[in-house]
Amino acid sequence: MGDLIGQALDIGWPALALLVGLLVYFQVSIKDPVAKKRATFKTFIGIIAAVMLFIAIANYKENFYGENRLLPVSLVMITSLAFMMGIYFTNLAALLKIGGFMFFVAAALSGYGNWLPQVEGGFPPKEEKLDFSSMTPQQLADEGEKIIFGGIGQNKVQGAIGKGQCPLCHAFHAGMLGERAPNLLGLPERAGKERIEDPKYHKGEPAKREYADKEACPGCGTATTAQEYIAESHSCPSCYVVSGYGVKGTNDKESPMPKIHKPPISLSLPELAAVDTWLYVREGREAPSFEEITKSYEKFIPEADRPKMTEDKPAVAGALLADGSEPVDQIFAKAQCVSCHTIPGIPGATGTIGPKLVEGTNAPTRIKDKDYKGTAKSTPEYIMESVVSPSTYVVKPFPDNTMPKVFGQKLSAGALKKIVDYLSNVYEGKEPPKIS
Amino acid sequence: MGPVTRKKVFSIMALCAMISLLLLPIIVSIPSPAIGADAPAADAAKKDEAKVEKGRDVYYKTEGIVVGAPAPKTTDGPKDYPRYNFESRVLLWFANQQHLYYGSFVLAVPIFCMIIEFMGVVTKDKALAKKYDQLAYDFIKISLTAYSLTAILGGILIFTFLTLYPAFFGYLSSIFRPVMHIYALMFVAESGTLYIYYYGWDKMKEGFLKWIHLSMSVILNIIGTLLMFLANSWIGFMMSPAGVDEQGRFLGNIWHVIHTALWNPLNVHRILGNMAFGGGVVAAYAAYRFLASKTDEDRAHYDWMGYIAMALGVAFLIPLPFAGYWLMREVYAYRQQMGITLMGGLLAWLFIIQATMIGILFLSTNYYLWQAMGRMRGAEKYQRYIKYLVFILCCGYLVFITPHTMVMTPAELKAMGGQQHPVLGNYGVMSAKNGGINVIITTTVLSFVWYMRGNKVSTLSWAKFGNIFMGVFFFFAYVNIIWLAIYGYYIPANVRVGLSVPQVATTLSCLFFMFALNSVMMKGAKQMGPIEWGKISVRSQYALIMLATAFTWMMGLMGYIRSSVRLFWHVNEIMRDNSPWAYTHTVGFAANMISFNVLFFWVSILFVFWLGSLAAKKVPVSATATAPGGAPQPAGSH
Amino acid sequence: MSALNNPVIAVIVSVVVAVTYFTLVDHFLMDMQGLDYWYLFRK
Repeated sequence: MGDLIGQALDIGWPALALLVGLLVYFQVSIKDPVAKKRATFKTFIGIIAAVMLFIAIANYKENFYGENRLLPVSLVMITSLAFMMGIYFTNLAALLKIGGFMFFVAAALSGYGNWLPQVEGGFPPKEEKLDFSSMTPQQLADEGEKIIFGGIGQNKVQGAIGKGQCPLCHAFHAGMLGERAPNLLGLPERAGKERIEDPKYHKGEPAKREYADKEACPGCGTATTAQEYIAESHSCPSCYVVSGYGVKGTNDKESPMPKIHKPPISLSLPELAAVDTWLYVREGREAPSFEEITKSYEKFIPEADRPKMTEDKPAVAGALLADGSEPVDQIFAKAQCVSCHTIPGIPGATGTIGPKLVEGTNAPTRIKDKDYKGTAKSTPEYIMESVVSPSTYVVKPFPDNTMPKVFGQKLSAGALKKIVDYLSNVYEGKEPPKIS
Repeated sequence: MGPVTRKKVFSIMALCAMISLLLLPIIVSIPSPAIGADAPAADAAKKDEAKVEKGRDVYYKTEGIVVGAPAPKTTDGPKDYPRYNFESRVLLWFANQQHLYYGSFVLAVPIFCMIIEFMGVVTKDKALAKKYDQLAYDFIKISLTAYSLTAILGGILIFTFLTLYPAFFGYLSSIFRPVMHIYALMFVAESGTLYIYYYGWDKMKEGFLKWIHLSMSVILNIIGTLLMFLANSWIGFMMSPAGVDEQGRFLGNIWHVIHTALWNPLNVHRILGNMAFGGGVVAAYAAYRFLASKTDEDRAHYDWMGYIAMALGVAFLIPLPFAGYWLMREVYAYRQQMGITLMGGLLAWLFIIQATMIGILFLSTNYYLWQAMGRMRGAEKYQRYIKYLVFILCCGYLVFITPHTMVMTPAELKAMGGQQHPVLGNYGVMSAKNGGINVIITTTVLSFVWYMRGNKVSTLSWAKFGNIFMGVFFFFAYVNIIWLAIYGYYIPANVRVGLSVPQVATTLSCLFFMFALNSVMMKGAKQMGPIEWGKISVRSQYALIMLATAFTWMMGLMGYIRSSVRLFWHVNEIMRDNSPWAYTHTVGFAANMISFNVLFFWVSILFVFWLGSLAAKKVPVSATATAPGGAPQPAGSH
Repeated sequence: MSALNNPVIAVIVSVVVAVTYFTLVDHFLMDMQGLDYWYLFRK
């Protein structure tokens, strides 16, 4: 307490000195004893109020970082001194009381705000000027890894998927699952030799090709280098299909892979360059320069088709493939269901790697199957189980471990619900439900 | 030409002058789209080589010809963010908030004036009509003093913008150039009409002239409302930009820029908010004059004024949550992420404070009404039930402020046995909260009904049935609200969310049906005694001040929430904030800042009131005119 | 009218009106949102 008064005097001595001076001045100047008494008394009250005010301020200063519980004492002191002044200074009574009361309300609310847990919204993520052209190969490769897997160092994590969505089908390490598409380990080596020298590739003679697409674009020609092969595969997957990985029933003439520069994936050329750089760098190879890679893509993707680089939205690790706000057909496209499944009513969903999804008809029979070990009791439950945990029950004759097991994490609850709602209303031989 | 007809001609000329002031900005604005259309045409003329670049609207998804520069990419430094040795954002915050407080006050008061003047004109009771007219005149007098302050603060705001955020302000004004010019002209028009309206009051008192005067107030309010809509357009643009392409280049359609996703919800929410706020400020003014008055007559007048202002304020407070609900729904529709940041993320604690504030507002309103029963003979019969209302209110309030998920230390978590308290945690969910707030509002309605029938006994033949019916209706309204709240725990979430609609409908049914039924029953009712204006307790006036302060605080809080939800964007997703102050402050800092703004506003406006009272003292003639005549009259249905 | 001033009758009539009214509000306002108010009881 003594400390506080000392500090209060320290802060407020000029004001107090002024008031004391006034007191003395009134003693001398006022002759009328009644008026003198009144003036003296009021100044005295003023001095007390001023001392209280400064003690309150000192207390606030002292305890701001220390005993938070003592802070309201200051509040009460200031309010009560306003009311005390109001009693004696009748001219200003209303103003003083109202002021004191308002101060009390506002300061109490302030205290309430400070008492709540304090969260500061940190600085925004540094604006990443993703100027890929000026990066070192390692930086570029890191960006590539982010696009493929969602984060640096994520490439060995099961289920890590980035904006490019490649790991949904491709495997990148020896022994990892990936029956839907070739394992990409050693691709830079393979591309320039086995692949473009393959007689079926018809290097330099695109017209002789027997695939669904002859060329990436009219007059684009075929690849002549390993890098051009990779670029062509990204931009025109059905120009050449590795044996055994074609869409079922097309005799490997058509690839299930989407064109990567087209929606929904829409990687820009610099992003594709980053992806390719990672493919080289992770094997310890020297990657072609950024310009060379970009050039290889320019050969196969006409200018009008090149997606613009979307800045400001760096692919976030763990981001969802679909958040549920999209119409259901887009969810199927974004999650790449359409590459492997045929789904009636969904444009482009003609995949044959997995079963045709007529779950309104199929699910009840599957649940009754004697091999069924799952827990689903109804069609929606069965669909949900199949999406989130595909290996619980595998439809014959399709192989197990083909469908990724990441959709439980990569689709929002809303998106899953839309998928389930849609699929449970698809019946064999009936009109597919409306897309919502 | 007799003096009366000359007056008539003059007043009609004045009205025409106001209308032309209103039309002036519109006429001026007509060429502005034409200019917009010219520019590309001129471009096209000389184009041949110059390629016309097209852009895609970020919101409307329409194609348009690029006519503006892209949003500047700012860097931290004195060029884009010149500064004093202080946080620029806080300075801007302060300037903005003060301008907005004064702005909403001077926009709201003329609307009150219009309502009260109209009530005065249509009231048959001569003495009461005169009282209303005098009250409206008092209102406009208050707002006139505040009006010049608003303009000065607006100037300070613009200078703050220009000096501290030149790049940002430059970009905004490049897009809103025509809107800003119209805005300025509107402001001139507003000033002109306000002065004609104010100085014409005494000259246009009777009959036909009064009606012309009244229509002037309508024009004045149209101008004021348009002014606010225009100001909302750039706020809406900053939150949910439209009319520009991804790089922020203007695409030539000014209507798209104005009419963004959040513009209309903001307009509605702000009008209602301004009105409730204006009611609070006028009520506080009345409370101040009540506490400062020395005569019974003054006390009677200011008691009555405080009551009217409070009633108008609360009338606009009740629909405010629904307008807020619409705004939030549009925010979610625009960007889900934005909604989540508001309600479940970074800013969620601010909504807890808001819930507390809403509770405080309703509690103060109820307290005032209970105190106000003290000035009626015959209201004693309700006094003894008030304690039960207090109990109901407190229960509703406690449920309403129970937080759902809190940030806790591990020790606290362990002590509580989980994220949620085993019993109290159940009250943290939306289902219980909706029940809580609806109980509070219904109780407020009940208090109002009791107040309105305080000194009256219905003489209708079916009065007994009416009373019983009202009691039963209120009882089952409570039962229904609480039942729906409990029912919500037992059904899945997607069905549960729908329960809030019948809950709100129950509350609104009480409001509309019971008010209507009550006023029918009280028509020609026997009076136990007159309302003794001025006999209200001093405590009640503090409730009014509480209401005003809490409302000011809440307005500051909600404005802060709305503004900070943009996080590190000047213009959401178009122009980044690269200043050192792009982060979001803590709740505590924001609360301190809001308190400071609130106190500054009240200190300054109390000073304005005090100045006004000095002026009133100097003119004893108008002071005697202010005092209500003789025996106070019961204020009809109020 | 006189019958309605009998408290018992008045209470009964009021209860019937109020309960019916609120049940209708609950049912139809849920129905308008495409939801089922009676969800729990139908299950």
